[in-house]
Amino acid sequence: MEQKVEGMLSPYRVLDLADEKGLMCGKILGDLGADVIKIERPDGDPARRLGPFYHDEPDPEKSLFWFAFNTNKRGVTLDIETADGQEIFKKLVKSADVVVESFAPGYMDKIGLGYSDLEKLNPGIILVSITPFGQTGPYKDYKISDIVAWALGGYSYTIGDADRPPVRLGHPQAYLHGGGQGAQGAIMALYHRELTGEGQFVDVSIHDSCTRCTPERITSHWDFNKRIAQRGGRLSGLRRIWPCKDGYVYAIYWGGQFARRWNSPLVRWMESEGVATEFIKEIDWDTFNMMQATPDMVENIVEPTLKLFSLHTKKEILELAIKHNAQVYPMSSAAEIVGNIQLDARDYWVELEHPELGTTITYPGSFVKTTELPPRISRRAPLIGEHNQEIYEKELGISREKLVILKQAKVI
Amino acid sequence: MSKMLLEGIKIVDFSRVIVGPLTTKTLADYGAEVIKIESRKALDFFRASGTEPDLAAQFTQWSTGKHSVTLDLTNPKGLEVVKRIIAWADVLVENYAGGVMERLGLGYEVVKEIKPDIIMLSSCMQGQTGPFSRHPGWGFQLSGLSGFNIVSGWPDREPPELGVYTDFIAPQFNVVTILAALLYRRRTGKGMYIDMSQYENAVHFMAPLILDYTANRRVANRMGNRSDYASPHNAYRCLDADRYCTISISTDEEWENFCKAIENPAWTQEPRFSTPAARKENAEELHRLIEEWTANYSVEEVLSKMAPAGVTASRVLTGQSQVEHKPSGAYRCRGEDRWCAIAVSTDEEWGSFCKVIGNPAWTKDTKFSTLLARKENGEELDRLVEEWTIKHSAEEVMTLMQAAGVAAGVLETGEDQLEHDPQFKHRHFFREVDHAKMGVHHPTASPFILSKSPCEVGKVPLLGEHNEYILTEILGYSDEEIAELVIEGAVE
Repeated sequence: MEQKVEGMLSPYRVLDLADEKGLMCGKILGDLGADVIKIERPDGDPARRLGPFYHDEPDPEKSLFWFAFNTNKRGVTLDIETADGQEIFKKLVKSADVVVESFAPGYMDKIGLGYSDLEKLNPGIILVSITPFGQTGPYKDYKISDIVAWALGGYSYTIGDADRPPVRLGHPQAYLHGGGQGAQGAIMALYHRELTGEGQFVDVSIHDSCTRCTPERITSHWDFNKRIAQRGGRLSGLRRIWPCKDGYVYAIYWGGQFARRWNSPLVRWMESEGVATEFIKEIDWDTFNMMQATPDMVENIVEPTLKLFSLHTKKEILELAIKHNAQVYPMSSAAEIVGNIQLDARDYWVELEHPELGTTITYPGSFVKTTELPPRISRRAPLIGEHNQEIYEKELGISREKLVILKQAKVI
Repeated sequence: MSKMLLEGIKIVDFSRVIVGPLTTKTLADYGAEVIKIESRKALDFFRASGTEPDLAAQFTQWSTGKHSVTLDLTNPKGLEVVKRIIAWADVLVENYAGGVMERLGLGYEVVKEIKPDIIMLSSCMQGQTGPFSRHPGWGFQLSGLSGFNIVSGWPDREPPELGVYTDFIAPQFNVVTILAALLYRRRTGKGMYIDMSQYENAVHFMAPLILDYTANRRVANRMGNRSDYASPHNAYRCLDADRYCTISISTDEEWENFCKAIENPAWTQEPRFSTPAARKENAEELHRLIEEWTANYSVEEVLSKMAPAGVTASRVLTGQSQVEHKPSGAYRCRGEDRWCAIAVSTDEEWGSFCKVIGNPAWTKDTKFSTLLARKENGEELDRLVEEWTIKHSAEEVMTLMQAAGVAAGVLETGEDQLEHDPQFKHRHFFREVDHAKMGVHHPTASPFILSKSPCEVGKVPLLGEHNEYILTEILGYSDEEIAELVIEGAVE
């Protein structure tokens, strides 16, 4: 397996105790070059039970969810509730810069590994805790799931049709925001440590992380107008999601001062394909008031637009939109994202070998390109205990005999 | 005041709308000094959306703690000024479409000449290279392109509007990369160019579905509120919340406007309401008749009918509790939809859930005894669950479920988030900030709390508010030079 390449965060070591609520944090730090050691329970991390699975075979070593968020990490098993396990963990903490965890608030303190304990072992240590609602407060022990996070996070309230319940955002997203915010907190704390030498505790709330996404849709309407934003509403009076030959595309008819600049290219595109009506050709976008348009006028805009999109597939529309400088984008499926020519042109995708599966799998590549030490995704997610020997024996100097005992005692 | 974490880090900010501004807001909230480069000729989208640039509500959310300078970058002297700001800066952030900075004469090669160790971040839709690099667009469309809409919403309907969802993903990757680059610069003295494609980082939030395609050739579809792992798993309708408004009618003119706004029902023509004195005498009856009308509409709808008619009406702010007494003098409007999300995963949680709803007979039915059975009979189950939730307030449903260890949460509105949610209050998540022209507003603080480094959400700048400070104190221009720059239109 390819060794990790040097990255911006290469000098730092991260111990990653997090389950699905925090995996994205270690993934980001690892992609930026940190030495991330994923520490799992001896029977494997609970996130390995999450699908989808490779070839639909539910197996802790075949979870595609696990694969997705553990690239660039090494993996060891360790029961941090046992005395021996704690000894080993403490040794690792002395060599580490950041610990990431997502246990229930108070758990790390209870087992003697809270921030005040870790700080004594390593004053520079940074502990990042990613929990549903944060470490303290009236909701701290509340349970969470993705649908609940987006409910309390506000984003769901305006999604969906008026005649149905509010609906959540796509496939699970909430914990990824928790992880993304955790990564920001971790690197901020590293920066502080470089200046002062002191570590600190980073308390991330998934609830807050989801709500970071709501000002534009939810809170600003209340804050400034005491208005409750409703779902199923159309912002400009016209639909924005349009059917095309093989799916849907997103296109906005703008009003006001942006209308001419951004609507005209779409109309010219219609003209070039012979579907523009006289009505739409003659609209003066500088004065046209979308909100006061009669149903007839709206229909006269909708009809040629539907016609234009019905002539083309999403793939064609993506390219024609560029040609016509119109801001029309297809709603892609996973297959279309993988086949996207822009991502291909930028050499985005990464092939990672999975020798034990006898295959390579295509992964989303680095999240950024930089002129210095660009992030590289060079390792697939670790197998259960894959680096026990490498880390425990070679790095910590624990003898092979002792490791056999620890394994039998289910510590590792 | 303790020292701010990023104190001394200087950022020149060319960015617009949300992605770049939320990136620099995050850094400003931890103490970085951010100068936002603005222009009266090319306003930030949100400033341009307001009735005037300093009365733009949306702009405030992403602009806290920054300085604003107004420069004409198409004026050679304006460009000179901005180059001096670049020489001052550690970090440059921009999110124009690909190629715009080069066109302005401020591509990385130029910027690097001015400040060799600068960290320059470009964060456009699809990256700086490749056939689509220059195509402009919005988070609305990028959310679609990145696959989020097609897997959201109801399988039997069109994909839903998700807003500018990806605009809240990219800033997270921007911030981590800028901070990592600052750490790298401390070690090596080297700056760098950061080419961030919002598309490429958004795809990481889709990663399991991408791998499901690359490894299994499966394309995921919409699944509404269903989950593979839980049932019940939905948003359930709860008891409507009472909502009230006030309507103020004094003069005959206001009365006529009001009658017109409610489309002149016959009773408005009756003599007992024809003069202010008569209306006063029959106030009780009048109140009943008006309320018969308001009860059909939400508060928003009532206000939107009154405002254009010139009738003063306003929302009566209510508490979270459902049992409050009716505010005096207020008109009851249509109750507000209230919802609570519930997710039941394990058999143990199912047992707790049944207990909370009082173990009705149907819960013993074999149709619902296992997770697989509950998923198979999901629709019927949702209907039965809602028979219970509809009798309770959303807050009550959440509290009862959570006390029994079942994940549940109110579908919060802006009002819930800003006025009621006790957890946000506890974490001080929404901060109170005073705006010079709009008064107090509530932008977000950081979702992570650092135990030793404060997060302070500063004021939102007025357009060009810091021209003098920046030109004089930071760049050292003399008063005469500044006067000249203003006359020549370089400084707006």
